[in-house]
Amino acid sequence: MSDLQNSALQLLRTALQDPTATFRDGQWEAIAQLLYPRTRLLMVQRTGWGKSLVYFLTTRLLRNQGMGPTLLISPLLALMRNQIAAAERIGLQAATINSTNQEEWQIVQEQLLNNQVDILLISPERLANEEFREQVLLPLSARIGFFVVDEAHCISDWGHDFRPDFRRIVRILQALPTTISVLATTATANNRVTNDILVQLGSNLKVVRGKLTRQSLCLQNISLPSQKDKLAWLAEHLPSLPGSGIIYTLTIQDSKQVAEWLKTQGIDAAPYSGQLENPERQVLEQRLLNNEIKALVATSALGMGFDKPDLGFVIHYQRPGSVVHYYQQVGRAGRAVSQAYGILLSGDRDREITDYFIESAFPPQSHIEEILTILAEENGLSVSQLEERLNLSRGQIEKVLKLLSVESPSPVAKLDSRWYVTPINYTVDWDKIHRLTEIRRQEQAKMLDYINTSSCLMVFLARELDDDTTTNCDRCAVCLDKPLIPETFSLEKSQKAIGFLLRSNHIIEPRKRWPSGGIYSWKGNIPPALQADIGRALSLWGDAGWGALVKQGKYQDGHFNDALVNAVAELIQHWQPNPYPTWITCVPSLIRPELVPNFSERLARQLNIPFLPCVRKIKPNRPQKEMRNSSQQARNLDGVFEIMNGQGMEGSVFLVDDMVDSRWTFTAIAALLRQAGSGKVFPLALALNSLSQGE
Amino acid sequence: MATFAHILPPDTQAILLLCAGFGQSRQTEPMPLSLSEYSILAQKLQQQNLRPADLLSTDGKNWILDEINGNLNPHRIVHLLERGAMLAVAVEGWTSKGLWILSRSDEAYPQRLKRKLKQLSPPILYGVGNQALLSVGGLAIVGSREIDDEGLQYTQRIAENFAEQGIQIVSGGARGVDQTAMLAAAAVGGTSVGVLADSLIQAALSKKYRDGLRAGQLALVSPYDPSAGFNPGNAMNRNKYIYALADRALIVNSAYEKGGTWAGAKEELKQESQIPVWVRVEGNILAGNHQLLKLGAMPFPSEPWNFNIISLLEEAEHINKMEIQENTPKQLSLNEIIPPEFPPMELDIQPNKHTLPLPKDAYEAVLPLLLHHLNELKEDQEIADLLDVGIGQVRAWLKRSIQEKLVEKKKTKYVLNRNHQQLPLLNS
Repeated sequence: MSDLQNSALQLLRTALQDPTATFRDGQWEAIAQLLYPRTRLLMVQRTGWGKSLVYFLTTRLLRNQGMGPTLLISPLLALMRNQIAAAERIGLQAATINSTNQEEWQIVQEQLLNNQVDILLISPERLANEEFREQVLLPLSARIGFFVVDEAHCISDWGHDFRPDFRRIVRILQALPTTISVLATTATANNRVTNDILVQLGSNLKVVRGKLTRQSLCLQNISLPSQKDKLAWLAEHLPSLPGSGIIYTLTIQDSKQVAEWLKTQGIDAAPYSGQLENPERQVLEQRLLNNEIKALVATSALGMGFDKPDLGFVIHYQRPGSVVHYYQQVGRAGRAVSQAYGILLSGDRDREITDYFIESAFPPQSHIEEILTILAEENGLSVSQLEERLNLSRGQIEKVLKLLSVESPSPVAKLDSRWYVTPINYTVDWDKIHRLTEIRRQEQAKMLDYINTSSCLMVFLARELDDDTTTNCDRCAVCLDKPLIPETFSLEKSQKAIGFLLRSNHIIEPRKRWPSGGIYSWKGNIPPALQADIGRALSLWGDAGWGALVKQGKYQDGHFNDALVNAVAELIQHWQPNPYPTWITCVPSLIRPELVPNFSERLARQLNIPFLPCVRKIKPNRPQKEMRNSSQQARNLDGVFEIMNGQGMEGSVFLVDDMVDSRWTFTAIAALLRQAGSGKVFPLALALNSLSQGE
Repeated sequence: MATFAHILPPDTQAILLLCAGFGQSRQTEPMPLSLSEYSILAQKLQQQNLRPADLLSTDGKNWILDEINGNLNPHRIVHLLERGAMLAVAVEGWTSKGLWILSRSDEAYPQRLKRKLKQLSPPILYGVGNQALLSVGGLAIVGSREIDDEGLQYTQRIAENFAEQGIQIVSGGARGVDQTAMLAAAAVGGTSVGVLADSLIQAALSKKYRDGLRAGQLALVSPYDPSAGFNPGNAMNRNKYIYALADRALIVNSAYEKGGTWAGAKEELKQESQIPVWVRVEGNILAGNHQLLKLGAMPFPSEPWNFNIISLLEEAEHINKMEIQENTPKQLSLNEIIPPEFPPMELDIQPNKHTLPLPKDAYEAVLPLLLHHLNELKEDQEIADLLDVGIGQVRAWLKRSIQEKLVEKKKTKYVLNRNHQQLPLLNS
């Protein structure tokens, strides 16, 4: 054993606080290679194998040789607490620069310039940010001695998780002189993904691959067609599953709903998604790590790098889009416990959701063309200016700009806050986009095969990940030929789930600022005296519960069922708006002049307060749903409504509409009503259009 | 697949690491090498048969610490070369906006600059647009920013006239004469080259140049950092590159004894390898125009110009040249091609007269061993490892053995030349 290897071993033992620890197969070999410049290494090892030790020890040894600090690109916002502890034990100081700790940037910058930081952690999304790169990263990068990219499967175009930000990382790696070694790590990559990474990072990239299987993971698939079945099953069986775990949902909306349901059933659960602020996320992660909560109901935002060796179960509320994706999530369970469950609940709507993700992965050609055309005519436009000029949502605009800005070379570039077209001649590679979409379809189909397979579930997953060494696990539902957890649930749970779905309603937050340019004669902030109050929507458009009935009423019957009147009345009873409204009015429509007034009138009778149809539409406009961004939606309402003053308008009022999407209609009419002397305005809608609010 | 402007040859990476500021406006340590400092280093490398890329290896680092002394601080060079991540981030940012980067060791680097400026040619050239235009030459049109409409119209007419005759316009991209000339040429379908003193990125993205750049009618280049702001020194210095990229120049208006136009023209008129300098003598011109005539500039023919304007100019230039030659016997041919300082890696290094002052007995001592190892194809690095000497030394020996027809080169590898019968050293 060389002196260097020996001192690395001592460091390993110090880091792990285990005087007898030895290197795992491949750990020292990787370190030894990385100590020499020119090394480009891709390490595919399961989570928990010890990838971080490889770059910690390499960093320590390089720093001992007088090299600069390590740059670690990772989607994690911070190193996990146990990782930080291990790093600190071998005298490594780690620092993070991300969007949530802006106030610390200055300190970190100074520490770096004073050579006090050994590992700098930066998120890929920061690296793709122009201002950050030029003003923060560039000055800091003068002495970087070692470059590490975590979750490197995101580099692959073919990956289940392709992230545009990683394209910029690839270009930076390609531009990197051989003076600096590069380590790319991932826990999940099949051969196609590995080959794609090889193509992008160059053939001098060496690949190290380990075994992926989990010895103690017990897999089972359960077919539960409807939402209510899935909810009932969870409430029935979750309490008997070992330890704490994760329930993965495909959308944020589902994560909230499932968590809320479990709470009503006395199960300690909380929703977790990218919508939460970082501190909240850390609190939740910590509670799960400490087994202080039964389950986090999470989107894929709870993922990369989250390491809980004693996770008791991972349940999928819906079928994920690909096997790689599924394995990555279910593989979090079953590391350091003797038995852990990986259960997939598949149902009727799963396909619809993954279809939506596949179809919306790339912006349509027309959006790309519109944006490139307008940018070519102008000398730089901000995103808000683009919004004013185009009927595209902010999200759609940003999606196009992101896609284009990671092309190489890119047809658009951002300078200060404005976007320009670059002087290159560009055509979209539609063939490639079609190929990628086709692959995602195949991956989606493979998940269906997984549900129906008659082979060992672990073998199926391992094969899909190009690990052919795995043999039958003898612990999955297929190997044992019987369910591990019963597939049934009680009638009582089922009825409660139905009731819950019918009662779950949704908040309508009031808008607080007029759109840029203003409407009517209003501009800037909306004064509280003109704002709407917090409102409610009975259902999600087209969803289980009431959503389907609303859809049927609007487009098939031309009349809303009395059941909906009763449901709204019940909602109001639970809600208790204060001061309680003394009258009802509604949003007028020229296309369906009877539909909403008729419903409102019946609701008024039920609540025993008067219905006063005092809002009048004085000019026709395009349907609000055709308007794609806030600016267009608001402007589409300018001067469209007026209030006819009359008796009985002094008190608070329910403002009723069938569907709410942008909330501009409620916002404009509420302001007009308040101006005309009404009390508080409580918006009330039958359905919330959730597509625009999905993840 | 698109070309990857961000993947630079190792020589260019090394030169960037040594010379580029990477958009750092603050005077940060380590300071990038100045033009003259880089030239000293380049000469040293050349003497020892090394190339800039060799500095990127561990051996290269040792070489710097062993060999660099005097005015250059070896630790500063080592620190500059450590900026690899900085280079990658900066280069990725520039190239994503459509820019490209050429170093003195690139084949595409304009020969005109090297021919005329020699060691003073910029080590790095940042640019956008059609690279091929840099070697086309053409008419440089320059003048001060302060100019009236009459002067601008004159500029416009002359640029259009030349462009229509297929003559490229070379200028500086500044407001006034420069931009008017370049845009007028593009508007009539001609080509132009702009040598910018600042803000290359802004220019690359700006609307006014967009169509010309996309259509391949325009190239903008700058020896300064693409994000550098205006700096009078750079603006002044940039004039020599405009002259170097053109065949002849026209001064539209120049102040006397002040301003960049005056300084640039005066400097050019002093050059041994000067290009013909013409000056406008009609209309509302400034005092400098007449004074330049006294320094050797020629009065530009008056309007109307017909289609024979080029032959008219050439004739007058010829007569003028004869007169000058009487006084100055030394004259460089414009057709002389200067080879790149460091020939591109892919090419065989051609034997030339210039050999290294190697100790004769060392080469002879090592030759049998060298030839023994070259029984099979080997890279220069492999041989260096086998002989346990620096790669530069090995390349020198290999070069000499090729000259002596003992060894031949196949792509990047070397092998015994078996067609050559005489192997006196092995026989002896």
